[in-house]
Amino acid sequence: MERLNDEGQWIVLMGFMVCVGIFFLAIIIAQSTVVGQTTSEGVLEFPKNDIQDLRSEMIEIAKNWEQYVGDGEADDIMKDLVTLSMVRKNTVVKYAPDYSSDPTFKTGAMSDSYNSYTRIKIHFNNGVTEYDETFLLSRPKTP
Amino acid sequence: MDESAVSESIGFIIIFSIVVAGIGLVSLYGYPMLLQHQIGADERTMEQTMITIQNDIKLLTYSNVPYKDTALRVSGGALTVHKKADSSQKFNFEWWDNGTWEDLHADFINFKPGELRYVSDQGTAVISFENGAVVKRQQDASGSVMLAEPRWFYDDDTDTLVIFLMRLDSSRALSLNGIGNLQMSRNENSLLARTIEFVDPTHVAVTYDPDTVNDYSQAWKNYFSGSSIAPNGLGPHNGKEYTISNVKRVFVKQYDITITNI
Repeated sequence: MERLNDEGQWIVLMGFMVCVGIFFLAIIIAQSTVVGQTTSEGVLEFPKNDIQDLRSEMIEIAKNWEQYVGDGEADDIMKDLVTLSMVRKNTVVKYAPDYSSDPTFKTGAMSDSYNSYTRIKIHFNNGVTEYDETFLLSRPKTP
Repeated sequence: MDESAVSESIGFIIIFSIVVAGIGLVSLYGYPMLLQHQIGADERTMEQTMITIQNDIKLLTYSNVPYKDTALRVSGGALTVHKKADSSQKFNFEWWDNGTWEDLHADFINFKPGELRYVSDQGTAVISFENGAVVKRQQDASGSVMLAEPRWFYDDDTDTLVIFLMRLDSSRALSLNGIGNLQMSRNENSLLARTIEFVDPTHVAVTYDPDTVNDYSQAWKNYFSGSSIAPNGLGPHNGKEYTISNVKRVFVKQYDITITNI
């Protein structure tokens, strides 16, 4: 009888190895259902634009702060800002009921030869992100 | 003597019985195991789906998106909408008025959130979306767990407590098993935003009245007493279990979400 030619045996071995590979891939896919969503959401949820909006509003208000205080509008303006942040952005921003003791807008407290500085404190909290910032708004001194 | 015929039939019997025994073992032990695994996978997929739904509702509410729809697959059970009017679970909010507990606001007495509930057919899991949270329990056990929390918070810089309430509503009874499209819209006209200011900082209490047949009180307990709302959690005060002290203002916002189709 003619001898069997068994040089093709490796095909069977390859098939076996591919099977094992697919098996492990299936395990990995089965484990991966819960991964990956929350991290990307956390990054997306950082309210950069909301903070920038609030910041620019605060700066505009601070520029005219003495005038607002003189006209007796300062309280109303701060209340408006707080209410708008709440209703539109679901955000708590700093509300200072007593401006004389609160350094939210302390004008002229700091100055050098050319500029006087208004200190602006921003507090921002929307439940996910809490953000605090203090910065100095410089204005040239009137000679 | 040549015995090859006999050994061939014996061999056949041996091989055949091995095959039958193999099939028997697989159908006796392997198949139930596979089914069990399938049920577990269905429930896990549903947990994931519920969190996706919660994310969509977050977009609807916090991000002011008016309409949202999601394609989803419900397998191994049914997803049903329980309208706010039909829900038995209730939330109540009170504040400590120097000796008595008073209702926080007339608009939020016995707040009924409604529910989006998944009940597993073969398994025992029940997963719900209620009032912004995804909660889960087992039908044969009394405990429950919160898979995803709502976004209530206390800001200690301004002593402000912020509470978001979400109500689900639908015009008719809706339920889904299989692949479907969940369509939700926010009802702009019924949005309530209320700020309650106190003269002196006081205590505010939250009460959850569970639905007795679908009790998620453990999940809400963990949420209230955990560190999510305030760092030290909500503790007991004068007969109320979950209270937060030193609150100057409470901001409550109530969203109405209508599920138009599923």
